[in-house]
Amino acid sequence: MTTQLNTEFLKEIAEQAIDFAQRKGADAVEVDVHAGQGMSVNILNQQIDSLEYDRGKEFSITVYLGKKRGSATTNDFSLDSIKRAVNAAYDFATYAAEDPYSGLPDREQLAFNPQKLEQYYPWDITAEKAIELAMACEAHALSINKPLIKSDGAGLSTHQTYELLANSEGFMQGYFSSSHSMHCALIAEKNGEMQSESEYTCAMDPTDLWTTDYIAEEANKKAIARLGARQIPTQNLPILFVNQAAASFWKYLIGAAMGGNIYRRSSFLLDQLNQIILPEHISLIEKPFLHKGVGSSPFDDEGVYTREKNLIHHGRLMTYLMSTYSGRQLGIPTTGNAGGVHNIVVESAQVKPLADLIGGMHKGLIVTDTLGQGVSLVNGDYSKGMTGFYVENGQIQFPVEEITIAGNLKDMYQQIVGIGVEQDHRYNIRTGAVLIENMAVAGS
Amino acid sequence: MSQEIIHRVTDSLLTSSGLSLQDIDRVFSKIMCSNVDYADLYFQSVYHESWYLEEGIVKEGSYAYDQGVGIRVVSGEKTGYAYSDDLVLPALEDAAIAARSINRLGNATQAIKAWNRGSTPIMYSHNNPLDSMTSQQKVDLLNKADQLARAASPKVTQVMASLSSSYEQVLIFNHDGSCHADIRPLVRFNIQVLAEFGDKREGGSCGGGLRGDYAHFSDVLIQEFVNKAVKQALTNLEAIPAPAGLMPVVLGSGWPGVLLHEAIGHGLEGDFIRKKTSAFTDKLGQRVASDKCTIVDDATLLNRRGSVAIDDEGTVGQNTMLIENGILRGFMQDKLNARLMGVAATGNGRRESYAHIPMPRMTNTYMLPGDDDPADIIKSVKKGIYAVNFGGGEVDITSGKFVFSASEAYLIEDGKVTAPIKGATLIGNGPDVLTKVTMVGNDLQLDPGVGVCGKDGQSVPVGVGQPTLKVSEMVVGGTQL
Repeated sequence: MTTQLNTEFLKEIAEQAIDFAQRKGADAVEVDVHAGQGMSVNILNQQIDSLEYDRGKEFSITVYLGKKRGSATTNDFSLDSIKRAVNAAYDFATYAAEDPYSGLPDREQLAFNPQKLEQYYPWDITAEKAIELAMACEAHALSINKPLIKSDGAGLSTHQTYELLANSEGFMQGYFSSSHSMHCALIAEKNGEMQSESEYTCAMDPTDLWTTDYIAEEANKKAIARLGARQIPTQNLPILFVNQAAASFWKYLIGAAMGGNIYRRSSFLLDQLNQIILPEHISLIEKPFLHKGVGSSPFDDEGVYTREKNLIHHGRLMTYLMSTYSGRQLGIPTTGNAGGVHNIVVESAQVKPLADLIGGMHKGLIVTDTLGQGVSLVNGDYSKGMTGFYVENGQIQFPVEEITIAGNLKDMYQQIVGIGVEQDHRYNIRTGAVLIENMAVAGS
Repeated sequence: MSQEIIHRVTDSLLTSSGLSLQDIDRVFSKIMCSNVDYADLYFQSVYHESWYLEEGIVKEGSYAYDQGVGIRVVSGEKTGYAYSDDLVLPALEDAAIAARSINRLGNATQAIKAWNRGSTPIMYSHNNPLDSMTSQQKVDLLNKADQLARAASPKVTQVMASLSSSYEQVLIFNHDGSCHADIRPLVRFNIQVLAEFGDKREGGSCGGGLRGDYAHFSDVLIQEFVNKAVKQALTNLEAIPAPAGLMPVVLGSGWPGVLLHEAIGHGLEGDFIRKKTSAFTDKLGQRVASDKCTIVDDATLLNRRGSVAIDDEGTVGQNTMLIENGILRGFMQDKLNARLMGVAATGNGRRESYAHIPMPRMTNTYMLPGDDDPADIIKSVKKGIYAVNFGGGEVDITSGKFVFSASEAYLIEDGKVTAPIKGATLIGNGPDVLTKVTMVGNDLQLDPGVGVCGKDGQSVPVGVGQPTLKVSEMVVGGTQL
């Protein structure tokens, strides 16, 4: 490891900054320092398209003057620059209003003895080898369904980060982590129609990445399957969210449960605590300590212990997701969710294989991707573009495009009639496919 | 045109870090050899601040400083890139060696003899906007906006407002011995309100900004932003479910120009054209829109959010004709794609920061005005929708399918604007949606200065604009069949 990830140096900076801020008169201080480095290569048509090296770092400080708060960030780690940042945060705090809920987490919540999680699996790969892998992946992808397929680029990237969190309560915890990925993007072309699709793999540990051949074959299969896409008439249909579309379907429920949206009254889950919001066979569990889980973490963004808990238990909303601040706003303790959730696992007593969910559809749509941001967390209104497939009599008939699906999330969550068994571990939300009984489809 | 900028930025970015032009020469000497087609060093520093109000109080102010240098080496179609956020010679040399590693070393070429300083057109102020108001004035401005919003309606229960600015300096050294500099201020105000009535809750938001300073935010302008945000929330409280299906759509002037950005803008970026992944590939000189449509990408508008005096490769910002009376006339190019396609760069080479490779990006993309009276456009629609405000959009440049989501829209029935409808996503096909533009208003407006465009994970500020226009049919993603 180079000076870039020199942990002693980064700790020294954090200590100096906290000390300097306290001597200046700050009542409480929090510092976040991170540094990372990595490499990414992109290949196009068996030529190098780009080779990038990144090496970044950042220092952030939040200063409290009583209940007033100011913050600053810099990527210049010279002592002068760190002092300038501390001074700026201090000055800004003097102009902020007294906020009765602001401040560091309570001392007993801080993760002074965090659970040890192994999250660091650096990949000792040279640029030459990375280029070779990406080339092999693209070459294999281009060798199948030859006249119909062209490349939209294949690539590999590898990154490692050290992140350090410290505050004036004496809390200081740092950890290394790594992430690696490979992707292959293709275009299928036939009779003037072009369709792009891609496949990717990502993992903390490079030995967990999918093989280049598998990525190439999946990307190829997906691109070919999109050819002949068309609109369907406007109608109501059952909707089956799969893969990434299924994970992002749950993302809105998690967003609406975040304490910040609750105290701002900007959530369709307001006043829904302890209410049944999903069919009773479904539970959503936060599991922060999963081995190699992408969202795994022993403490949250402010150093508070994360904890395994039910977000939804048998359809019932068990808790909102609280940081120290939003918790104080609502008069309840933090749940260790400053910054978000740490692996949400969707469980159901009635899971079915994806093939059975499709096989059981009389008519319906499979949604592989959604387009746009047409979702309101305030009231749950949902309207998005989609791509996917039309199903009739349990069989995929043809790919669809240029259509929208619309409804309200509160109804959509109640109208879940099936959950797939196959879970995708690439996301912070581990879910199978999700089948919704009925949504409005707009098309021709 | 000014050469003063380059001296000022050189002092601020190089001299103050203890770097000299000889050091720049040394870095280039590590890079240049016979098989390098292009190389540049991009120095950048950004000072940024933001102030945030909610629940009637300014809760936090934050300050940020970011600096670094990106080193790019291009050989044929290959780009090698590395950056450093330490502005010291050894770090620059390391980055140079990493960036040039795409190349087997050829013969060393001649060293740069003397730096030729380029001039920068004056298109916006070069003062630091962070200093254009005192901290107390910034806090007061946000408090004022909060009071105005709460006074506007008793239904307003939450107000969130923010004020931010940045001061960016860039200095670019090209391997051909030219060097360029720019100073780019940017300010932004935004207000978001929540309105409640019974058990209904709806949000509304509005904002704006430009390349300039906080003096832009006059009392009148703040009042206007507040009124629009509150009106949007209150209107949506009354909204009925949106219709679903294919129907005529009238788009309001200004920010609804996000249609152009998504439907055709991205598809006309030179990288997608060169790689033949855009639905517009090979369509130059062909009809891609009705003859009422003339669309430009114009970086030269004074003080605009999307404007650039020079782009991030040192090319002077331009006004580029994209579509003229419906015929596709041009693409947006950076240096790499222009060179490989044998055309001229158009000043569209932009990047989020020194940590990113430049790409062809839009600046201010808008449609020129037509002849129609906006009132006549509404009158011409028997049953359709009138959409005046939008959230974001997204496009698949290969299939051409794009969406954008209305945040304030109304039904048109028998030529009259009637009930407000709930937000709905509109979806269309880029290469043919503009052929369905049957009326274009005489009321061109640019957006108030809010656009952020994302591409390959890089965000840059952009502008859009258009007159009121009618698309004869488009899919409206409502719930009412």
